[in-house]
Amino acid sequence: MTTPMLEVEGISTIRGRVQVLWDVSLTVQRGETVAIVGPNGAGKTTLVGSITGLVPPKSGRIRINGADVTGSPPEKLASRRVALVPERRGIFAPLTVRENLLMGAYARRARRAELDADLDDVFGLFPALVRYRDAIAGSLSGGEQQMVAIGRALMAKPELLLLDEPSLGLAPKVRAEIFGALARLAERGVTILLVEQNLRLAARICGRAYLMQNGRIVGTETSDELARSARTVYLGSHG
Amino acid sequence: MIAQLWQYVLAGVVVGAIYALIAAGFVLIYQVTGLINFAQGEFAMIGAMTASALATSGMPVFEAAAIAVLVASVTGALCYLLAIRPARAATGVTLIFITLGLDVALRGLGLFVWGTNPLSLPAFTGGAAITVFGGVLPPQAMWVLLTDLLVFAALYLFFRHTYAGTAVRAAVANPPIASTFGIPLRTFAFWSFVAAAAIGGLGGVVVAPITSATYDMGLTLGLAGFVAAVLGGLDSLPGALVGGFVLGIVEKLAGGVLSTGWEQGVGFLILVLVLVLRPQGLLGRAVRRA
Ligand SMILES: Nc1ncnc2c1ncn2[C@@H]1O[C@H](COP(=O)(O)OP(=O)(O)OP(=O)(O)O)[C@@H](O)[C@H]1O
Ligand SMILES: [Mg+2]
Repeated sequence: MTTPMLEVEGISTIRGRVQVLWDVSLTVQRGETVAIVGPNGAGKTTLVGSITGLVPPKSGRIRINGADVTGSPPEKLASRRVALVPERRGIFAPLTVRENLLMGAYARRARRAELDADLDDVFGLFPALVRYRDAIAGSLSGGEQQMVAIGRALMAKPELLLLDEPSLGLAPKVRAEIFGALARLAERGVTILLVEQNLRLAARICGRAYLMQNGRIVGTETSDELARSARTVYLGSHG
Repeated sequence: MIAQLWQYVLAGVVVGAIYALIAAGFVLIYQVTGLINFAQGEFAMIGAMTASALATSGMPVFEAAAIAVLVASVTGALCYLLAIRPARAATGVTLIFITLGLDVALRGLGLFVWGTNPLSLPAFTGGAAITVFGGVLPPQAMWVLLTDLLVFAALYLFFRHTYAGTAVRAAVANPPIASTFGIPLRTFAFWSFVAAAAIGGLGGVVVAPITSATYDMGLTLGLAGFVAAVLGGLDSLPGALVGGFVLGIVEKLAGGVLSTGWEQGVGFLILVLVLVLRPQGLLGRAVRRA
């Protein structure tokens, strides 16, 4: 069996004085698309933060491509070919769209020509961004900013893409556009770990899901099961 | 009367140009580290004293100036490495006390190395005084203004048109997220101290032929630079430039028209007024605290 892309092994994480994650474990195989679903405050963002190093866990192990990265600083993340699309997008608001994208490639130290080709690639994936190339990113709509955040992460040429609620606050049409792009990335072989509260959207691109509640993994579902729960339990409350 | 006022304005432009350089240092460090470095004026003192001492001992003035800027930069690097970086877990108030302590320590070092006597530095170039619409400026004033032009143009080009400069802006905009892309926040903090010290040192070097250099000149320059930076918004380099000139001109006008005592006092008056009426400064962003 090949080494998993990501292994989280029994991590517990504290924020402030509150323990937020309790013995959380999960595995993402190379090429897989996996969702983490759960209600507000379940600890999804904290889990992502523990993987990136932004909120280091107090115990447990995290391995990326077999290498132990527990407690390693976020600066190291990109060079391990992992990129984050953070909650609420976290774009560099005063920078232009193009500058935002270029910053995603910081750790690669690539040459200009290579970067230009990668920029074209991102603009190909998100044609809506082309005309805002030199616009200040903070002035874009929420959906466009989300595209910038995803495009920026892609510029890191990630093997593993972490996305924290990319559908948050977006109109259905824009969501569809973004999830279409994510589906294409998955086809290209990018491994995806997606935090998503919208089960129907998650079921569209994810092979399986971990359910989180009160800081623990409380179950796993296949994408069919996810879609079914989306129809029954959550119908009406999610778009 | 008008001619006299104009002369004050010209004098204000020259000191304002120096304030702008010191203010740029405040802004650079504040933007990158969130820290107000109250030792900023001492970099100018070290630049001015080093250049003057070297020139006095016979070194050609441009050589002395270059070495002085280098010495100031190394001082900035050491300040960061020895005092700021080890305390980076400390809270804001502690860090402010650390930079105040640095200020006192550097001034003490200046006293120890160079003593209390003022040193002088020859003007970079000789020649007659320059006349501008009837007002006069010393030839060195051209070097002061040229330095401002070059420094601010270089900063503009760096931040707007280089990859590294863009990365610094990204780090300022969103430090944690920038770090996940490998943007090295601590390295940038280090270089912000080096750059601020180099620019401050350069300011001290170019102004020394006009004001002469003393071990305690950093105190007034630092305070003026701070007021200029606050006036400009503390997060804006163009603001630092404008703030420097505004403060310099207002100081000289107040000093000339009212009395010399006002020249010092007016800066604090401006500081209080800005903090009360327009805390984001002239060109700063609107308040962004939550
Ligand atoms: N800095 C902090 N200090 C203390 N507690 C925190 C901190 N940040 C988050 N928490 C708490 O940790 C818990 C999990 O937060 P987290 O943001 O990980 O949840 P989430 O599943 O991402 O929620 P959402 O769906 O709303 O984004 C919450 O109860 C939250 O109040
Ligand atoms: Mg969250």
